[in-house]
Order: sequence, then C-alpha cells, then structure tokens
Amino acid sequence: MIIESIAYHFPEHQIRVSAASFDDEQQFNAHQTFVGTTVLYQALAHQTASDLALKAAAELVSDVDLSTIDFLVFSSLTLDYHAPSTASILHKKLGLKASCGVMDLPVGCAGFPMALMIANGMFNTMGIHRMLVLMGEVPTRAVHPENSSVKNVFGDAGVAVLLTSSRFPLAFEFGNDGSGFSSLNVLRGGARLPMDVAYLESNVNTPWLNQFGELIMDGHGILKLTLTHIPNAVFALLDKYGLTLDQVDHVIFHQASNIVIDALQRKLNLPKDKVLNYLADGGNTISCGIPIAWAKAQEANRFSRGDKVLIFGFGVGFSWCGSILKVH
Amino acid sequence: MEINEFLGHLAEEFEDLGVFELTPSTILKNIPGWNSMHILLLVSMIDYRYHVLLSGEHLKAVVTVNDLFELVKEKQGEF
Repeated sequence: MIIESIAYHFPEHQIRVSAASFDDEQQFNAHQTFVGTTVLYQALAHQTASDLALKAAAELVSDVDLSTIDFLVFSSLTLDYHAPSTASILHKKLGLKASCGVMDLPVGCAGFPMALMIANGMFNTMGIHRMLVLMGEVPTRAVHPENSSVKNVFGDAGVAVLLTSSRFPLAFEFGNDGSGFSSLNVLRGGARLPMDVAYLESNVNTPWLNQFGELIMDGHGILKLTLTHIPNAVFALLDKYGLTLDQVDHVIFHQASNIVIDALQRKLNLPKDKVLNYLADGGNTISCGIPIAWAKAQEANRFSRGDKVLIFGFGVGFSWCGSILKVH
Repeated sequence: MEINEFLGHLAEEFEDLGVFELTPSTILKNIPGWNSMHILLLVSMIDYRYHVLLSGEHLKAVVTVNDLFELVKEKQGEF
C-alpha cells in the first residue's frame, strides 16, 4: 500500500498558547516543556469535524478522478449524527460513485493506522485499488476551560489521505487494554450516560460541552499505559518486518504531548532527530496528528523516496495500532 | 541503587526547569513551579532508569525525595 498524497486543514481561528492563560510564568514554562503546543486551532461553533475533513478532502481530490475511489473511511470521535454515518454524508458531498463503500471509524488516537489496516485488508483481499481516508476531530468542543489537564493541549483539524494498493502489503501491530477507560474519556450523550436537564443546565457558560460532554484525561494513567504497552508493541511490529529500530528512518508516534513522545523516544533508545514532533503548531489533534506530521515532514523535505517510516497511534481505549510504510 | 545516584538522575531531569538543589528531604511539591506534569517526568525517568512503572496510587504516600527513592527501591525488589 502507498500513501499517494495527504492534505490537512486547520480552522481559521487560532488560539495562541501564552503566559496569560496560566497562573504564573513557571506553569507556562512547564506547559511549553511538557506539552509543547504554541498554537491551537479551533473550529467555529457551527463547524463539525466532517466540515474540517471535507476542506482537506476538497484540496486533495481536486485533480483526482473520483470514479477511481472505491472506499471511504472517516475517522473521528465527533460524528455529525448517530445515524446515518458521517462517511455517508461526506460521500454525497464529495460526489463519490455509488459503488464506493463507506465506513465511520470512531476510535480516536489510533484512527489513522487503523484506517490503513482496513485499507490494507481490502486492497489485498477484495481487488480494491484506491481508498480515501478522511479524519476530522474537534476536541476543543469537549474542553472545559477550567480543566488544566486538557486545556491548551487539544486542537481541531481535518485531514485527507489518498491510498493506493501496491504489490507490497503492510504488517500491523495492534491491541487494546480496556482498563484505560478511566484515563481518557468523554462520557455524556451516549446510551450509558445521556445528556439530562441537570447536565445541560450546568453548561450555561460552557454550552459547547452540550454536544459531546466533557473530555477527561488522567495524564499519569495515559503515560503509564503508553509505557506499559507501546514499546513492546513497537518491537513486535519490527519483528513482523524483520527490521531493527536502526533500520527505520523516521518514527511518528501519536502526537500526544512532548512528555509522551519523549518518554517513548528515551525508552526505545531512539535518536531524537528520528522521532517527529509537530505539536507546536496545532497540538494534539487525535487521529489527525500522525498524518499531519507525515505531511509536514514532507513539506520540510525530511522524507526521501523509499524511507521507512514507523507510525504508531495509541490513546483513548486504551487502544493502539502501528505499521511501517515506505515513502512513495 | 544509591541515593546520590538517584538525586543525580532527578537533578538531570529537572535541569531545564531551573530547579534548585535537591536533597533527600526536599519536599517534592515545594519545588518551585512543581505541578502535575513534573510527576509525569518522574514516572518516565524512573521507568527508564530503574524499570519501575509507578501508578498514581503508588505516589499518594510520597512526600519527599527520600520517600520516592525508598518506593523505587521497594518496587525494584518486587521483581
């Protein structure tokens, strides 16, 4: 499988992470060191995640013959409706052919490698040749302004990726640890914990939280899950390819925060310049982070044709998925 | 594992943050600018150097640098 092209879109409204939004200079400095985000982007109140994905898609497919696209996957934790699928809505807006299938993938931070895994399976078993993977995330919609563990960390974005089959199937390493439930969640509005009058009324000053509920993150819990599972999973993935870490040219972990990326880099004894970190511009954009980092690395001429890039998504669940791709 | 080696590793970790001299009796939350993210840095360092992955539960009783040192020693002994 080949990544043919990637386009990403950040909404126009910028939030500059400055000392003014912290209690004191030291808290601000700690944020810069540990999180690493200087600019976040925020969708307008009427914009959904699929609107951001659509903007990226429009740019990507402007010179693509749409009749060649056989399947569309939309990765997002913030879907437009419970039904129909948001991928179905995007299919219509993009004018894709009727025989192009669609699927939503609301899995979060590992969404991009999981979408690649779906594509890989379909390419190799169903005679499909081209797939469009869209990602859209609006985590700022679920951020409470007084929750310091998620404020100034998450940003909104949309991404479009065009995939083509090749003679070389990819291998994947994936898994899940459901004990991660309490470390990262957005609980309101589903069947288990519906929005109720008391909840809606509690958001008089934070009305955006009435869309999906509030994002809760236990940073320590997530770091512990990451260090427990991801290094082992990376080595298991390398084994599937018969490669060592030295033979990989670039590594893109889920763009979570400096502290998570640095902790993995250190534990795996990776040279720092091999590990891509594009958190400064845009922050943690859930499933958009890995493909945005890929696109930015290409913009900066960091990739050469044939380079081996290890990608590893992980987070909410706690779930993970990774693969190794060659730069086309 | 010696306390001096442990202090050295801690100091190295907090170098960028301009942290003052650490002693075994230093109270962690009194370190200037201390916040929840420093705990993450500690967890990462201790996992890397000492192969002990501390949970929030483990850290509840930790007040001083020495408490942390003793906790890591105890957890290392469990392997």
